[in-house]
Amino acid sequence: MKQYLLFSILFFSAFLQAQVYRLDSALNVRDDDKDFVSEDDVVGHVSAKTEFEIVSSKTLRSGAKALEVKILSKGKGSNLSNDYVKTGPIYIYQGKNTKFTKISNSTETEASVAYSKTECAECASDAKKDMEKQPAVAFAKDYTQAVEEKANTPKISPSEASTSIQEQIKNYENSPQVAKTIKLAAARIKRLKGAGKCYKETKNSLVAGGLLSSKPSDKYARNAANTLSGLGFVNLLKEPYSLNYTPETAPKGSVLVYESSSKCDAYTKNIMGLGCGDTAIKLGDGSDTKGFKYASDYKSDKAITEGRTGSKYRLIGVMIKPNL
Amino acid sequence: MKLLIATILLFTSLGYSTNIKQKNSRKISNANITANEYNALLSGFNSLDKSNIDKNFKSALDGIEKLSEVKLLTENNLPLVISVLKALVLMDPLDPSRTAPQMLTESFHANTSIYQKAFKQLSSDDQKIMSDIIKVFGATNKKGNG
Repeated sequence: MKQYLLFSILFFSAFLQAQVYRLDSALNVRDDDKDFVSEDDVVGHVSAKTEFEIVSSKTLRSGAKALEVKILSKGKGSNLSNDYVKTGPIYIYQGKNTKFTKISNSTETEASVAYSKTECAECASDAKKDMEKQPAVAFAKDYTQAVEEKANTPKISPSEASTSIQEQIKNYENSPQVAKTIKLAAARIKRLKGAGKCYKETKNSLVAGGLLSSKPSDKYARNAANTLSGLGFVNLLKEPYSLNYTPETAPKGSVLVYESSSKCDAYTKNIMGLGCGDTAIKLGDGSDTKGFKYASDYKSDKAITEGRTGSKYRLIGVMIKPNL
Repeated sequence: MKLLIATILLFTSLGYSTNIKQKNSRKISNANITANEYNALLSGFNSLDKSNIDKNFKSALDGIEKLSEVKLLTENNLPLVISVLKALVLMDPLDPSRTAPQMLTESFHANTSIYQKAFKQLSSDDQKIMSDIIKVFGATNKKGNG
């Protein structure tokens, strides 16, 4: 009898042993499982690499799941209070695009399989299945899930954004487009002195390298940060990144944008004093470009701010194209 | 009918005359820098040479900025313009971005004839360098730097 009891306990212990999962992206954490759209019950967020166990699972009307979880370790950048972690209950949302990685060796669980098919196969009646197939119902569910997904994606803090952008900067620096842009700019730009066409030549280099599909028509380098922002670039000096770059430390392939305090053209009589500004492409540390680190309409080993007229310029943009 | 035409012609000529007077008045008001400023700029630029341009680069740049604020130069200012062009040539090796010439773009286009006269007064070597610098004036004026 004792042996039977012990065997049963061991069997059920093994069976009930909770699976451990790791989050692949940040998620909001709630203290209620009734509403996954409003922000009223959001008590914080957990970042990617947070490890957790699923305590229970409840299917929402949208078809997604509300998971009651036990947090084992929080990912870097999580802002969920330890009080919630200890006391619970806390819930996270598992929708179509929510990805978990199972990190304990056990049988496959619902979190790692396509939930909707499993759910339908196990629980739904034939009538419900038929209803699910109706396009209008499917659309409504997809729409609801999209709303829920958005509501459960946390607003990333600047520090988290910074972590994320660092990876994107590396990807940008190592992208074939940046390699091509630098190679062509270094080869094409022969001048060692400016010709009053810095922005024009910067645009030519970006188009040649595939970072721009066509040349923007604006005339002044001082506006390049705004123009490029509308063409898929981000300014690393501005929020939400607010990174502290100088021309010397700027990422390889980034577009450096300067404003200048000196007047430069006859068409800005009504805004005298703004100056044309300057743009340049950061070629890198010069090791692959014969010592030249910057290219605009001329090549140089020094940033314009390092030169004798450097006091006339101020770096206002370090532009890269994320998601390359 | 003749009276009507005569009246129209009279008012047209009066309007034109007023416009000319306004233009002349603006030209006169913008034409001169003070004698002290002129002399200070001229002596500053004239004191520059290859041996001291490195040391005096900043003051030369300040002088060019000052000159850029003078919208219309008169024939009397020719010696000053010649000395400015010589200064630009001296500064060129230290100014790869060509910021100094860009500062004078507006002045160049407002006073092209004086700059051309001054250009002819330069040595042939200086003219070669200055020719490249003048391209900066042209490029920047027509299309910004984009």
